Order: sequence, then structure tokens, then C-alpha cells
Amino acid sequence: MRTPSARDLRAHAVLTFAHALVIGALNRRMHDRDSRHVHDALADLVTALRRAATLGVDMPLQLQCADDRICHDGESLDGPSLQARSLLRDLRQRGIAMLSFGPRLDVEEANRLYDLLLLDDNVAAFARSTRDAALAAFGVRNVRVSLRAAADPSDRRCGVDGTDRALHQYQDLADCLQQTHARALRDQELAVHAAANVVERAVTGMDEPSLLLSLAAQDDVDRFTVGHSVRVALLALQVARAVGATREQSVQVGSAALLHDIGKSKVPQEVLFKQGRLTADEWHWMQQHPRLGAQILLEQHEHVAAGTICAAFCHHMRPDGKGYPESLVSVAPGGTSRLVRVCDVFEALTSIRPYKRALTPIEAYAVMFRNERDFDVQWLRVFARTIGLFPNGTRVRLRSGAAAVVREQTGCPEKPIVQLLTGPDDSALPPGQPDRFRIGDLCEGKPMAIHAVDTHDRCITVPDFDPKDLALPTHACLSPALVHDLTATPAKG
Amino acid sequence: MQAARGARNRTPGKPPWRKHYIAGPRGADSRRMQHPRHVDATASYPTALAQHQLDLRTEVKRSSALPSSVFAAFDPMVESLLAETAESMLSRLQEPPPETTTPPPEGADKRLETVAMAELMALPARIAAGGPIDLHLDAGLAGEYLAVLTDACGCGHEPTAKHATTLLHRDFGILGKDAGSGIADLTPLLDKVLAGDSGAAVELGTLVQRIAAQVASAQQAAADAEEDA
Repeated sequence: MRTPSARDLRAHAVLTFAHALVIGALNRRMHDRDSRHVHDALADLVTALRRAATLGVDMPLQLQCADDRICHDGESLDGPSLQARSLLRDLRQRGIAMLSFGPRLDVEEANRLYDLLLLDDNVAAFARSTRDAALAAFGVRNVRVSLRAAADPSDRRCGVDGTDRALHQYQDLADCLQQTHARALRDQELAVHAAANVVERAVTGMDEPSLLLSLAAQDDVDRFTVGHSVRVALLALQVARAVGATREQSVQVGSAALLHDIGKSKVPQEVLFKQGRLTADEWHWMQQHPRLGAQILLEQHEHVAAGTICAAFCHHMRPDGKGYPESLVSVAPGGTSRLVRVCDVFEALTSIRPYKRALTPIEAYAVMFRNERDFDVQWLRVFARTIGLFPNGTRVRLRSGAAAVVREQTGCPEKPIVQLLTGPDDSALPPGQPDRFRIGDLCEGKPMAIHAVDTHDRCITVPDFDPKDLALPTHACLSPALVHDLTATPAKG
Repeated sequence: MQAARGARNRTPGKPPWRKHYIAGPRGADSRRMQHPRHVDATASYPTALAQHQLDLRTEVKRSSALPSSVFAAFDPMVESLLAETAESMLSRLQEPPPETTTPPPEGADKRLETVAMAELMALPARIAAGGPIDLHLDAGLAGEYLAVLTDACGCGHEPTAKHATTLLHRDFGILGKDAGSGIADLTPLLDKVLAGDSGAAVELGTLVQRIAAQVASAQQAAADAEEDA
């Protein structure tokens, strides 16, 4: 176990607070201001703020609000920004450039702050001349608001490089799904077509899907199922692309994955986020969410693709139809549902839940292969070959002691391309030398090998895979048509 | 002022409704119980209780001609024991929430997966097994959709069931009034299956699914008719 430094702890505390701020806003949008969900989320916000103060984060804690992300000390907080599209939109509408939180903020005051930040009626309160009076009138004394100057550079989106595009795509998906869940909760008509459009835009603009996935890894605090569903959709899209899905199929599988948990909007949150064992009644509720999801989608007036409805119904079913919900007639899940199930379980295992820690991807694979009868093992294999044992964005420690981050998959799940962050034993990288290597390549006469996976709270040692055993068929992740060509020709010859 | 003092006794930032955060005898809640004003807020629970009893007796003495022993309902030893027990219970209630101090509940233990190094070691081989894979996203969709619609028809509430019936008709040509029409085909198919015809087994499965869908659709139609009537 790696002991985090005081600096790491402070950075994590700021991230947690920013996440809580975003989650608080999401809760305010979905529930009544005086509901327990809101109260609970705001209690988390206040706790996170006090924890940050205790750990020595400078107070007031200042968060800068650009158009597309939340920053602290000029550094982008990508994780919280991923689900912050609506909040940032509201802040932009009010011309807010920075929020400064004093450690004495309490739950009720935080709730009043959200009244000011989120309700349409209060947009005008943030005129330069009335801002202070509005904060005072709402009893918000521990938060200061700085407004943007007329030509503030934060009025622009922060660049248009690949990472920014990925961030915007992720925000689109999350924002769309937040609205869809909120509508489902209120029994309103869903904008299913809009969801498909967002997925289509993601498919079209996704130059490098793994970039989105590595971003998704940062979205680790998720009290809704929104972040989870977005990540499942991204995983499914990546695998769909690897198996040679057409654009239309990709949009369908992306939409199916995005909406697979829509039934959870009807499950009480006390059940959804309960720590520990569920009672029989609560478990019954949970088991109904796939059926509820399918029913919500069936009730829509606009056309919803069959695959989307089926994935909502079948994503907790094994290939033999066992699992839940208990169906009136026997159901054999189809291809999309099987893929969504694999992505769903992988994402759940690698995420933090109230009742469990997050597994590293390599551990998640081990657990899934241990229970491989629960999945379509073919889809599981394709998934692992595509995403890799060390997905892009994973921080690893090499045998040399150097820290590195996984940048690219190569077709061999255990041999990704990594970019060095430090030299051996954390020394500085020598300038001008190449910093990208494929695992297994020789470096100073020795093959580069991953020694451990580094997460923010754990360091998992991985085995020394024998290079002889590592060779996969080079076409393992190619499209079915190409695979067929490659395999069929020699046999016929 | 009282609120501020009470807040000091609570764990910062915790919602007030949880029983773990109810303030103890030194907190705001105990003051609501109208303890005499001069009770020292820093006193222990037995001291505070003794002080309260003394105040009560003084008050009784002042306002009644009867001997105070008439009002002493409790044995002092029992009272002391009660005070100690109460204090111990309250101090437990004031401990941090169980999720941070106690082991996870029984159900949660199962969720903390542990993975052996051998399992990790075996992963590349397990992933590579089977060689190239040809998979289709649309595989099995029709049968799956039929089953999901049948379920919605039979288990869904009114608008869902109705819509599922419409979709069964539109996408599969299944109507409730046809219920039973496929039953005659069951016997020959069953004979073939018993004779070991694997193709017939698939056909039988499909037929059974269609019959189930017809029955669900017929039930829904009957329910509609009943409602209309």
C-alpha cells in the first residue's frame, strides 16, 4: 500500500469537494430542494469542504469556472468537470468566474447557494451591482462569487485539442443522460432520439475512443448511474468498433449501453445506494430495474430500437437466460445485450461503490474470467483484447522503477504502449530521449515490463508475464470480415 | 448561541436526522429537555443528573409541605447505575458512524473480491484462447425482442402492456385471437426433437415463444375488453 503524501491528500480533497459540488447540483435538479437526497448530497459537500480545510487546503477554497471545466489553482479538475455541463452552463449564464467557499458553509446555506446558482428566476441576481446583496439576502455568507470581466479569457472554451474534444463529448453524453434520468424519474417523455444523436456525434467525432475512456477513468465519484452509464457506453462503442460494427450499429449499441440502467431512475435511492446487504423487499426492487427500464423505453412515443429495449431488460441475464428479472418466458440475450452486460460488470467492478472498493482493470478481468459462465465468454475475450489488461490512461510502475502511463493498445492485452513519466526509480526523465515504448521491447538490453498498477490509493503488483505466452493472433481485434479472410485463406489453400 | 454550542457536539457536516449525531446530554438536545439553567454544561452525565435531582427536590421542598422523601421514587443506587448506563449508551451514540469504524456488513464482505497472482498470470492465455472471434451485435435479437415484448405484455402495467401488444402485432404478426393456433404444430415438432433432431429443437423453442406471446396478447386483449365493458 502506497502512503499518499500530504499534497496528494490535499489534491484528492479538492477533487472530492468539486465532485460533491457537481453531484449536489445534479441532486438539486432531480429532486425537491428539501428532499433527503439533496440533504444527503449537501452534507457530503460540507463534509468534503471541512475535510479539505482539515488537510490544509487553502481557505477559502477557490474553484474557477471556465466554460467547459472546473479548475483549482489554474489546474483543470477533469473528473468533476465531466458531469458538470449543466452546472457550468448555469454559472456561465450568471457570468460567474470563481466561487470561493469558506469552511463554515453548512448544509442549509449550501442549499440556498444552489437556489441562487440553479434557479432560472435568480439569474438576474448576479448583476455586478446586486450580487453581494443577493448573497446576503439568501443568507449565503460563506461563499464569495467573482464575476467575469467583460473580456475574460475564461469565456472561451479551453482549446480544441483532442483531450478537449473528448471532454466535450463526454460532457454531452453525461448531460444528455442526466436529463433523460430526470425525465424518467418524473414520468416525462424521454428524448431518446436526442440520446441517439449525442451517441452519433460521439461515434462520428471519436477520433480516438480510448481518449474518452481514459478521461472516463477520472469520473470516479458517481452517486447517480449517469457516470456509470456513460462509461459503459464508451466501452461498448470501443468494442463495437473493434468487431467491425457499422456506424448505424455503433449508434444503436451506444444508445443501448447509455440507457441500459434507465430503470434505476424508478428505484428508491435508499435502495440504490444502500451500504451492506439488501433486505428481501429491497432486493426485489433492484431486480425489477431491468424490467422497469424496458417498460419506460416501451412507453415512449418515439421509436426506440429493439436492441435498446432488450439491453435494458437483459443486461443482468447470463447467456443461458438465468439472472434477473425473472421473465415470463425464457429469454436468450442477444449480441448487444451480451456486450452491454460485459461492459456493465467490468465498469461496476472497476468503480467505487458504497459497499466496495474499485478493482483495477486487471483484477476485474480475473474476477470476470473466474465467473466466466456468467458472461458470453466470446464477448468477454473480445472486450479484453480491445480494452487491454492495462487500459489507456492506467498509471503503471515499470520494473525499472520508472512511472509511466498507458497510451495505446497494441492487440496484445498485456503489451500496451506506455509513456514514461519519470526515469528509473522516480528520477527525472533525461531530456531529448524517446519516452514512448511498447511493453516487451528491449530497453538497455532488458525487456520493458510492468511491475505494478498504481491507483490513487493502491499499488497492485502484477505478475511477470512470460513473453513466450503473450503472443496473441495479430488479428485478434480486427473486424470479423478481415478475420475471416485471414483465417479462411490458408485452410482453403 | 445554543445552536453554536450544540454544533460543537456534532460530527461536522453530518445530517442531523441520523441517530448517530443526536447530541448527548451536553448538547443542544438535552437543553431542550429543560434542565435547570445552572447545570454545568461540561459536567458528566451522572453529575448533571444528580444536580437535576437536587434541583427538583429543592423545588419540591419549596412548593410542597410534604416531606421530600415522598417524591424520591428512586433508590439512589439504582439511579446511579441508570445514570452510568445512560451515559455509556449516549457515548456510543456519539461515536462516528458505523460505516467508518465497524467492519462492513455481512453482505458487503462478498463484494470485496480478492484476486490471486495465479489468476492474473493466467489471464493472457484465457483471453487469447479460442483464437479469432466472429461476433455480431444483432445476433439473436429477434427472439430476444419477442420474449421481452411478451414479458411486457404479461407483466407490464396498462400503457406498456398495450403498446407491447401493438408491437407484437406490428413486428411479429402476433395477435391474441390467434392464441392456440400453433398448438397443433407442437406434437410433430416434439416428436422430431425426441428423435434427436437439433434443428427441430430450435424450431420448437421459437414456436413456444410465439404461443406464449399469443397467449399474453390474448390476455391483454381480454383485459382491455373487460375495461371497456
